Amino acid sequence: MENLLFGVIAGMGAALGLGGGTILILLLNFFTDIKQYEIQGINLVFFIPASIIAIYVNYKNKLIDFKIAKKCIFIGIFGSIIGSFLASKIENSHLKRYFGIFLLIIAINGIYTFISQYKNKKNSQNKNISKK
Amino acid sequence: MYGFIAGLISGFFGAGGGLILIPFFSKFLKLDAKTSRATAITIVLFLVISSSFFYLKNKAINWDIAAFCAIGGCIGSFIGSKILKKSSSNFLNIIFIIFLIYSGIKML
Repeated sequence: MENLLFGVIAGMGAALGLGGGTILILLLNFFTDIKQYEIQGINLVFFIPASIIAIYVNYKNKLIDFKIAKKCIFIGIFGSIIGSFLASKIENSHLKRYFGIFLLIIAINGIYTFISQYKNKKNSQNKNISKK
Repeated sequence: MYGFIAGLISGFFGAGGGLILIPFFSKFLKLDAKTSRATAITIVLFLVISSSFFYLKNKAINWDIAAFCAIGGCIGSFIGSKILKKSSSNFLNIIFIIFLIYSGIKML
């Protein structure tokens, strides 16, 4: 039953564009004793139906850039095959640690984006003032 | 190149490909936020399907738990898309960043 709840929370995260898969992996990590590698497998199964719903809605709203998508899918599949192979060879505790490092990198990038957005806003406000 | 890295990450961690692709799309290709997210999720679906084969082959998928999570995920993504229209994305991003830092440190 709690797994259903984890799914709901992660699904909401996914729809909001926050990285639903990441949220599900963390929830399962904190509240269950399933191994990291197995959690990642569960997350893959979770992602397929949830993303199909999102893609359908986005497709209807004409938000998908198929030109870019095609290129990235073709190259990305090579990457994902190599990545899955590596993940199956690595020890569980290491995999968990690497995931932690990855999250911190994403967080730092998020903070950086925020600061640059804030600066841009300030600059454009200054320009408006000087025009007046 | 970014597609390759996103694939590598998403196969390795079973998640996170989108988190790499979205900033790339908005910074370098100048796509707007909604298009970046929509395009990224389309790409990630295919990456996830291809890495799922590997996890399946290694029998690393716990179907009992996965089924519940998937059903919950569908309900959640429906609710989430309703909330999205009402909430400010800056607020959500700040919460998400704090969440990432906290859990990133905890996983180390």
